Amino acid sequence: MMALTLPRIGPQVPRSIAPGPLLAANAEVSRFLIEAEAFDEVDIPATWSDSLDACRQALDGWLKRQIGALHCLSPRFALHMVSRDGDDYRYYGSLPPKHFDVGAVEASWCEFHEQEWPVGMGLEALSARLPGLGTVVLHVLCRQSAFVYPLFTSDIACDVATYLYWCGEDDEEAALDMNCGDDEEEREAMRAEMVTKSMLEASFPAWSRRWPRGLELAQCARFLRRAAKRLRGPDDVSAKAAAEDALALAMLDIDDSFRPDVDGEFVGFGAVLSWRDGDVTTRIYDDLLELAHQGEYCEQIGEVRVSLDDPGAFGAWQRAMASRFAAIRRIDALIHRLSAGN
Amino acid sequence: MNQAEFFIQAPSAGTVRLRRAVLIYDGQQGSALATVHDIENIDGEAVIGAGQAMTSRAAMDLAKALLKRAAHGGFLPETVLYMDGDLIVWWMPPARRHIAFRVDDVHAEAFGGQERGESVPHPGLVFAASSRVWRVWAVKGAGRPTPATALYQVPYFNVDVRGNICQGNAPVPEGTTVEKIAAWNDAFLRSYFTHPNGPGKLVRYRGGAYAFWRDMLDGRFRRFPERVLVDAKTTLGRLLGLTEGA
Repeated sequence: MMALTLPRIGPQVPRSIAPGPLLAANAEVSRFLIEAEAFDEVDIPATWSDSLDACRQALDGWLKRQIGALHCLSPRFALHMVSRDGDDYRYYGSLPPKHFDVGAVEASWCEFHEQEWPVGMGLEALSARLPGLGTVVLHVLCRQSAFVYPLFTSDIACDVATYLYWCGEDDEEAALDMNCGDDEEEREAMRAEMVTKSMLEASFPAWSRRWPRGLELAQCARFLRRAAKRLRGPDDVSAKAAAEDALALAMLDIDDSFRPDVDGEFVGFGAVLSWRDGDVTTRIYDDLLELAHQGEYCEQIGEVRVSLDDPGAFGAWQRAMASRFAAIRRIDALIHRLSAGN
Repeated sequence: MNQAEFFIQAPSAGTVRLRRAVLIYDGQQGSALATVHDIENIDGEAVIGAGQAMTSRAAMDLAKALLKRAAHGGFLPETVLYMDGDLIVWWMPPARRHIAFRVDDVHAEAFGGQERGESVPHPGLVFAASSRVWRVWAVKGAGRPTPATALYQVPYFNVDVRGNICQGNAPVPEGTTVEKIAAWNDAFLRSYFTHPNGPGKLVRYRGGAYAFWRDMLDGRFRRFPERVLVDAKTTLGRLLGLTEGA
């Protein structure tokens, strides 16, 4: 009896068809990444049909190894193509452009799933264990995250509230004057609807509402080092781990080298750190997003543009990111500890 | 646990991959059957797997995917008369619209200038556009055309006796979807009309087409004089290959 065989498609039939002229751009960027030694050979998939997708998988492997598993954050790094004229390559389901003269790549990063994490109880518990520890940990978190993975914290919420609701003033009175005049009934009705200063005071302790001026990272590091030594009891395990994470974060050398060059309101926050679950922080954050989306806004945390003529610059960016990757890891660990994984 | 991800936005996003095969069986008297088969990768070779009969719905979905620029879903405006594949036929009711001319030196004096433009009354028009054709005819009256409606040659320059529009250097819209109708109308009426195309009479008017448009631009007619239209000796239904009265 003759064995049945399924019909095979000859090798002359292509398995995939790509927009012809644009394949040249893919090949050029693949060559650039290889020349930049952007990934190790071990990260290149064993089999592949698309060189740029193979590069993406290799970069993805490199990134995962650099940052490791995370509890709370989901960073997404992206590489965009930029033409010699400085135009971004865009393809969102419509027909791809017929020609694209790629001249550079732009690497950027952002948070893919920003979420609310209530950290107030965790910080208060730290200060209860060791006076001032919660303040210092929060300050290190805010300060070191600013250029690598900005967090929407209570001090930022208070600052945003002044221009979002209060016409730039310290409380809501000027906004009430402007909208209601002397009509007390109307003022109270509006006050009941809006975010007020007393609402912020009730939501956040005073030490979390403002940036502690004069508190430098070196001082924080000294404090945290001493704290880690003092926290030796069996009940101190969690507080000690938080102090050690914050100390490691404080010791990292991070600057604003890769600040995104984008006009408009910055909304690229990596996470929303509320004090208590469901407090006013998320409301302010949502209102900020709504305002931002009415005009220009920036939701990228960092970016760097590298010419295809200069593959070495891409390698330099990757090396410079090492401290930022370490910071992302520590920020994630601290948020996880402070929110108890909530 | 979460993981960071690396993503590259690149032209490869437009790549299509071999996923399925369609086998078509033709019968006598126009009957047809198609089966859809997944392509499987067996030992590095592409193999046509077992198939399923293609349903009408699957056939339509496939046709839509293949004709992205000729979408057929959604509500249709009353000006749309006919659709088949990427062919769309629509009606533009009679109205005053702006028209502009740029004629050669020879006719400039008689025309009243080399470049002239005015808002003038136009007859009802029927356009047909697809990836291969772009044609236009005139119709009499203000009623929505039916398959029995008689077609007339449009009185405009740059259109031949068969209704083919000479697009010259003017860019034409990409795609023939309902949403693109306004763009097609603009592409026609907002271009300069420069010269009559081909032999044959454009209008039945003393002095010919140049004299007619000079008088139109001079405001001689408050309504479009339909008597000047030249009969194309066909109907909309016949043009579309439909049985009369269908």
